[in-house]
Amino acid sequence: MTRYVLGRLGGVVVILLAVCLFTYLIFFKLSPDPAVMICGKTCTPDRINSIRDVLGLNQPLLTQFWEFLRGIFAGREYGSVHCPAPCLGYSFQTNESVWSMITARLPVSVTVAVGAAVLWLLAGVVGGLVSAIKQGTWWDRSAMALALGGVSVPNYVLALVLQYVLVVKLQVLPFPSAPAFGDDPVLWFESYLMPWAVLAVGYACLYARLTRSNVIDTLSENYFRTARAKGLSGALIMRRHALRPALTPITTIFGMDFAGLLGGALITETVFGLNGIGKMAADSIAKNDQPVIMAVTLLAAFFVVIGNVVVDLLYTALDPRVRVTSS
Amino acid sequence: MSDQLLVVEDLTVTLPTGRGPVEVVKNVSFTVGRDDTLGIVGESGSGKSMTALAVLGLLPRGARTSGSVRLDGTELLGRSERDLRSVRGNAISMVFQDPLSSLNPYYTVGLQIAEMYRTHRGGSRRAARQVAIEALERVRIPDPGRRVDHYPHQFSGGQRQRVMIAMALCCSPSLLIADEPTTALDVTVQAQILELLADLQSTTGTGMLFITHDLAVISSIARRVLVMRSGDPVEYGSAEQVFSNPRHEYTRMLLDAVPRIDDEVAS
Amino acid sequence: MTLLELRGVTKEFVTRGDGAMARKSTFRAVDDVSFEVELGETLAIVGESGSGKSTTARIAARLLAPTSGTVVFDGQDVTRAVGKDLARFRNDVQVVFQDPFSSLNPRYTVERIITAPLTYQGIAPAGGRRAFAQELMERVGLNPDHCRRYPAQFSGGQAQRIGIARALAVNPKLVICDEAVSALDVSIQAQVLELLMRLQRESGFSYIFIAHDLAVVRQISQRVAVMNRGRIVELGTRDQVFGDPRDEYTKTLLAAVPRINPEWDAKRRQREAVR
Repeated sequence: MTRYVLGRLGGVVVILLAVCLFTYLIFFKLSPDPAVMICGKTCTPDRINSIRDVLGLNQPLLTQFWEFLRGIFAGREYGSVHCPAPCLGYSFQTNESVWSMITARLPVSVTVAVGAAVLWLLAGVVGGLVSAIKQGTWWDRSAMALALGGVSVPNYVLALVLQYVLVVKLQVLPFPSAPAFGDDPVLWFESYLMPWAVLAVGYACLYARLTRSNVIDTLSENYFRTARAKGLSGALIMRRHALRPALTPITTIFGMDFAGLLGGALITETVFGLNGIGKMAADSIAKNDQPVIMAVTLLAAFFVVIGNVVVDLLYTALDPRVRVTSS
Repeated sequence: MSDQLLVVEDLTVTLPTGRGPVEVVKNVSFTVGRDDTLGIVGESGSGKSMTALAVLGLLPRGARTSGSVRLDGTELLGRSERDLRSVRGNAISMVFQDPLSSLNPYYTVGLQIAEMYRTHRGGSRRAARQVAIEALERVRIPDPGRRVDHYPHQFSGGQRQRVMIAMALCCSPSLLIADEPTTALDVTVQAQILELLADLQSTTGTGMLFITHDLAVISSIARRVLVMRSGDPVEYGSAEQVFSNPRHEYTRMLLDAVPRIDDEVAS
Repeated sequence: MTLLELRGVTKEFVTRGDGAMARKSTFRAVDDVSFEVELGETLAIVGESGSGKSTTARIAARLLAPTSGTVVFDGQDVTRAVGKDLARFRNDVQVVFQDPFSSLNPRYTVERIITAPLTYQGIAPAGGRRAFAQELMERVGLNPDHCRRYPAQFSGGQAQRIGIARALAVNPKLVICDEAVSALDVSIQAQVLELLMRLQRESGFSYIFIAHDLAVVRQISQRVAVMNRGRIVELGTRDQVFGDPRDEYTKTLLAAVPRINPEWDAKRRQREAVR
């Protein structure tokens, strides 16, 4: 088993390197000359050249890439500017190392992701389970129609509408800021409530439909019939013989969804003005702040790849048939 | 009548289908005594499995029943799910055809036996686990102390069926319903399972309702026989009478169709 | 005249082991199996699950290539045949499978199913495909008016007759029946066995009949091979294997087959003889 885990982790490193190189290639080839961007409006060719030297832009691609990789472990110098390890780049527009920008904003994104996840799991799984049990009834039909609607609404529309209705019109909630939990718990909760809701809606609807169809399948399984024939109580049958088998694929999908969300919920954060990775990504794309864009891309890829590995390992824990048998 | 364990009278089961309601069991009547084995035999579509499911109220959604099913005098047909739960696994247990799909693959065998025992008899988890180990021992699973923590897929087909039987008998039911319990098994394993069932029945005095399509199996295990075709009861009597002097054309046809292994055959 | 000969056939499967661990292990499904099939005879291969009989059947039909050993058909070595040689082999050796509903294309009409092998072999029947299909349907006991129907519209026994008709379309010399009657009700089973035997009498081809049901095998075969864990443990004429088995496993197998009480059966037979 450890051999397998090590093998997978090795694979992760290889994939991340490949993603790194690929991302680097894209920015190298496609984006406008960073020296020009940094130089600004009052520019002379001499200045551009000196900036290019500082940034090492005159070197061949692979050398630049190697410097970048080295910087991740050992820190890097950009002329007079020192970027400590791990150096994922330096933003000349904000005058910060990208890493410190990320660490400042990651907690917000994580809070958004975790809160939304809790909401959508509860709503989605419970809703799906009830629908499956009451399959065919008006409850089931209307719940699924609602779910279809929820999935179809673009989340920026929902975000704007919610913000307009709850904050501006009804004035029930304040405009979201993102205080730390310790400073002002009430404001913290009120701030995150809408982003959580907006993000959760889409996923909850998906998960409700998914749970419903999985549970309907388990309800028709032979072992479910056996459980009924054993005279077990309703709650026990539902928990062990209907829900548990249905949850395995949902858990793995959740792992991937959550990992993707950690990379930053771009639109939601931007609409609500929360200073997370997503908003940082949106801002830097607008300003064409390359080092930040690239680092955010890498970060998102990192989460997805790790999420993938975790999910695979999780599967062996969840499904006894997939585990190594001892006999 | 009062010494009969299970009395079924004029049982009719109607299932909803795309083409409208269809009667899959039509006015079937039979009894099973204590320490007795009734075999229900029929081809596919005969309604024999539906009859068994009707006894325990396990019919698919939308099914309608009429008639009477009495266990020890108590009417079972039409009872609430809650009432039936105290009967299932307790007074009447059922063993199904395919043991691999009939056991939950996500839980150990021990847990699946223990949960049934704890539902009907209560007690701690440890005590129930001990019951599970003893149950496995009774059906001759080797090394039961270790295997109680194994998952269904870690057993062979025959062993899985033993597990199902162990589970069914752990609360000492008065009636065991076996729906094609050996059909999916190899013939040598089938012989072992049939022998096990006969053994257990004689030691526990459990009544058995044995459902199969295999006339030869019925011949060796059932004391009385009910033959069904397309939901209708065709023949009902002692095994000796049904096999040596069948009254109905269909029964005769079935018996003629069974390939023989011992007598003369044209080459 | 020996039609098919398997000599020293072994088939190993490499498995990766359970779960995530990439531990390779070799599983020997068929172990040093040899037998011959004469033209016009029926050889039955019996065994329980895991005996290797189905894998052997697939090797005989060259749906699989053996790991070692040879398969010789009509004098030609077809062990590793490909392309034209294999196509010729397929014309001579056909298979009837256990479950007609999964081995017949549910989207094809009966007519198309039955004449499909002709297409693959590049044969155009004189008189047209429709007439050809209908004639074959009559031969296997199906109503020729149903040639435009789909498999799902037939019962299990009838669908199996379609599979048999398909196998006969190219006039094979050998038909391999892989548990062809195992999924059928006992009354239908008897009819289909009767059909198989009649077809053989009429056309003179050979059968390899794979089954786990010894009683069925006894009805249809002249020679019987008993397999256990990949090896043939007994091979002989039907009467010898059933009447005087030499191998312990064969004896166990025969003893395990459930029998209708012979006393009762005899009484019934007597009564019916009187009628």
